[in-house]
Amino acid sequence: METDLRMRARRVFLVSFALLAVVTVAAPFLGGTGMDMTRLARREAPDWQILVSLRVPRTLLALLAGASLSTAGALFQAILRDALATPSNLGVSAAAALGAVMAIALLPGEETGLPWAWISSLAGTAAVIALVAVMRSSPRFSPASLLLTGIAINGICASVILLLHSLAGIARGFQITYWLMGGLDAVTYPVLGALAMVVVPVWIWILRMARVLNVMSYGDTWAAGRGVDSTKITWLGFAAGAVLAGVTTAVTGPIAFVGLIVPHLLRRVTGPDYRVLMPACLFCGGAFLIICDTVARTVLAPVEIPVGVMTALLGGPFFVWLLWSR
Amino acid sequence: MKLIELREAGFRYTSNAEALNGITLEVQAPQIIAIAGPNGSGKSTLLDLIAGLRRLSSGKCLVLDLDAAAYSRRDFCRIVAHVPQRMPEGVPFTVEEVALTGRTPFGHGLYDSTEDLAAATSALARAGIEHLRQRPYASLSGGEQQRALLAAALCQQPQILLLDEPGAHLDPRNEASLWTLLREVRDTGCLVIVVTHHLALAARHADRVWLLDRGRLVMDAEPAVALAPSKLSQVFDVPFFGYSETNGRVFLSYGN
Repeated sequence: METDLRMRARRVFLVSFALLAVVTVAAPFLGGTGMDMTRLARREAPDWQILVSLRVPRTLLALLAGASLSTAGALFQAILRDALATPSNLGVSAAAALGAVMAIALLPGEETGLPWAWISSLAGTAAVIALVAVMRSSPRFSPASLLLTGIAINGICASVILLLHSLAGIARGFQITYWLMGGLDAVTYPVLGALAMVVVPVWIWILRMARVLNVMSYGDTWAAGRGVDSTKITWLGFAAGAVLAGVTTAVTGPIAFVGLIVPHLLRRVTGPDYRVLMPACLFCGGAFLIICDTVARTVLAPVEIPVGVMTALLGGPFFVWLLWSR
Repeated sequence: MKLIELREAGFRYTSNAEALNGITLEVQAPQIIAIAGPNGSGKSTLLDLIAGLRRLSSGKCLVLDLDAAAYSRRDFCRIVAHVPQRMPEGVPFTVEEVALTGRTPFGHGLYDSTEDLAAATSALARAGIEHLRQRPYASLSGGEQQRALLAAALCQQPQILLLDEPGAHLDPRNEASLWTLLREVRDTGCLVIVVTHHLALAARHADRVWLLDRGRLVMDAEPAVALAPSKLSQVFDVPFFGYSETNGRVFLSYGN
């Protein structure tokens, strides 16, 4: 019943938001080195600086990145009607990474940061999204062909990244390697603010489109017969997903499989309705990456595992399992 | 006011193969129209053109005296509901959720309104599947799935209902009851256009038949005329036999 749907949506919204709130508040206080609460209360160094300048922005970046990647994954899965579609599997993340690496390797200056890495990353993303959109409009489109194309794009991007890396020299080569490991550290508040200003409006648009995404999951013909301009929604959806994956990857480096793991696990709890699933993806995606990052920086402390390595180690087997259980 | 008018409508595939050519027809009153013809004669393409799912290569299609291309998709689907032959595999929603997709052209918020829910309840009852409303769509039989799709289209409260081979996967009992339902829908003032290969049922239930052959409209007439065995033998290239009942309906059979 519809009232049940509203209640379920409200309950899932509140629970996932509460989870995100708890994780966001707790994570900055957890780490390899413990926090002295007395010093924190008095805002004394170094604990206060570690909390405010390192751990809080890192947690907020994990929130923004996790929510964006997870939502983008669910969005691609809705538009393509393919459970395995994610920014990583489609090659979107790799193209974004290639764009950012090109900016780091080729642009003049000692260190290339925003906005060039963003612009270049978005350009890479846009190229892949345009290719995917053209493929989808072809009568020969199939989820299998899309996945295989994603594999090819990932391979091509990886090769070009290696080439750029080998030509970049020691300093820039190190910068590329570090960036490619996918990390959430050393982000400033202005960058966080800029990222939030880009991704939050896109989140809101996606949440508002949830009812239409439900209809899209019945197929183009059915959607068109119910008054949905599926071509327009598909293009807008691809653009929204590309922005989320592109700008996030430009800041964090490639963080794989968040868009696969989170929507799939949540679907088992929330069901397929995007009005329930999308807000859950948003909040739980943020919480998931914060948890991954917290584990990554504490489990082998003082050594930190890059969070991209962490999500790949979790996501790789999950992807194989999902592929074989289809 | 004309419900539908086609003027010299034509359609070519991107391969440039001609699917339809010079289709001119008009419908003024609610009735059941059966589109018949051999495989590849353009029946589904004609239905898709009326539904706005394909763009005309030539000519015009008017719905309620307005060029169909001038409507927004949303406004168009408040008038016209299209039911495809089948849905993609693995639709994960319940029957009620499938029916409620018919309210998409009317929906403004994220959730379905009281009116939407009332329309879904009424549509499910008319389709005779109210008791299945909480069942997963994928778990239904072919006949039940067809009724769920029809319920979604009825939920749209259309003036024109288009169905592409709705009886393709139904047994005789389910198909007969589907046609009875279509007659009830017609009696509420809705124009029903059905693509069908089941000429005997078209002869029995349709008010008019559009007979297509190789992309051309070769007959637009009452069933007794359009489905005359001599005409069908010529179009389908197989001998047809038939006799007329006193009510003007024809019984058909075919084969060597």
